[in-house]
Amino acid sequence: MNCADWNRQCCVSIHTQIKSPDGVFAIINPQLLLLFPALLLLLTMVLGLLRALQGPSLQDRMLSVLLLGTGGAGLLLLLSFILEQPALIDVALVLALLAAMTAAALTRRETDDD
Amino acid sequence: MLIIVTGVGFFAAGSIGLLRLPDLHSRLHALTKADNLGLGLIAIGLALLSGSLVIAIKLLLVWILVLAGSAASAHLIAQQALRRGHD
Amino acid sequence: MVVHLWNLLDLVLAGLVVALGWSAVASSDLKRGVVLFIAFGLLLAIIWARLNAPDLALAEAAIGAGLSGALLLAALRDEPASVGDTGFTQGPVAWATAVFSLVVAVSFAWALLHAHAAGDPIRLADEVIAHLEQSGVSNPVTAVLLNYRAYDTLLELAVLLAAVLGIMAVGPARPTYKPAGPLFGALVTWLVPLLIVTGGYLLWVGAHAPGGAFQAGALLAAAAVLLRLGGYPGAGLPGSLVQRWLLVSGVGVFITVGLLVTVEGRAFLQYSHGWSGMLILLIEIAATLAIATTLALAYIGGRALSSQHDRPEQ
Repeated sequence: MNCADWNRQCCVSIHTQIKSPDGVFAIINPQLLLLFPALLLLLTMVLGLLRALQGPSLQDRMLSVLLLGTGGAGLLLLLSFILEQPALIDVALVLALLAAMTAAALTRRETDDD
Repeated sequence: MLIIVTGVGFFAAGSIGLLRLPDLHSRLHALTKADNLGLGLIAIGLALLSGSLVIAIKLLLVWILVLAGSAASAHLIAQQALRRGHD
Repeated sequence: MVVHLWNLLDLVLAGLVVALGWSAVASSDLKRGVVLFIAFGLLLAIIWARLNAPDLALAEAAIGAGLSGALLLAALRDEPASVGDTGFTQGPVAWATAVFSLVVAVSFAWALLHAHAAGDPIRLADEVIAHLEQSGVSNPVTAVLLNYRAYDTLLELAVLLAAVLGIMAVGPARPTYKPAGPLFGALVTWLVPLLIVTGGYLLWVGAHAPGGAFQAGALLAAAAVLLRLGGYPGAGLPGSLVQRWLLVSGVGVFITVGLLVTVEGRAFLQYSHGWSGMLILLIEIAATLAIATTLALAYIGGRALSSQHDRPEQ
């Protein structure tokens, strides 16, 4: 994916992409089929989030961070293929690294001795 | 493509486990094992779809990192739960 | 059919972000609110990715979700765990704030809808792309940040410097953590180098792909936060003299480069064509180190201990 593709990416809005078949992407782009699993993934994340956020203890809320980290990484990987934006894989990388750091910050916080 | 859908299926299983399982520790199990496996399948499916070695390596790297990170995170969360006397 | 799927995705994302934002603000247990805020930040990063803005997604994931969450958690250590009935949670002030927020949101939505519907607008983005080869980098976002609007970035770095000076002036560092046990120590052992390497990668790649100084600096700061959590009181930062140089270097290198190019008779920060790539890289390196030091010091909360004491406390 060279720079010209990338430049075109960031200047064309999503709406022109989808609504004009002779535009940047054709509607019958096979990568758009990935939208189905992406949507499913998102919905399962929402379900998991509902539970994790309603849970009574703090640890349940931490599960939501873990869920969003893993699920978000998956969603970003799928999106990087749907939108033909390889940089989103980097975003998934950063998300994975920072989810681990956030879990550490959340749990370590309790175990310190003041 | 089929692999990706299977991956999402595993993910869904993990999240349903999150919803239905009674205990924090079992939820951690569901979350880390099923979700990471689902992510791995998604990564493999996308790697096959991409046809580029660099992208495939990057995808697998992301998966390995998520695996290691979530394993450590889950352990930390469980440790803290034990420490605080959570059921 | 595909359009409907996109709309459904957008709808779910939008609904989720509003719900998370609301519950983050509305929760009375502060720690719960912070965790929800972190989740909100992660979701916002996903939304930026969906809107095809990877630079913003990177910055949001690194700074908005990760580091802001860590900073809020560090602040929570000194505060009670739940907020009582302050005057802001109910009464006329709350209602006025709600109405004001609603008005702002509606006017933004109206403006956005009209901007999309306006036919054939003059877009600055086209100008940006047209002059991209002369800017020295091939990533339009980096070109805008460090070339076309370099002055804004300079002032942003100055604001960061002022903030960290304020933090350091307020008081000593926060109490430190216990030394890491075997599990957490192992996590620190592989995560910190990985964060540093990824930060360097983002800095380097920012010239031609999404990345850049802010994201790289945030990742380095995340490594420092992790070290601090692992019991290193200095968070891996160098001694205090070097810290001060690093803090100042972001703004300093920027201003120096800007003044040096005026020697040739150009305006302030008007790079010459052949040099702009190198100069931008130089400024970005300094900015990354400065941002990393700034955020790390903000997390520590004050003057860090010198490097002689940079071992986990026994």
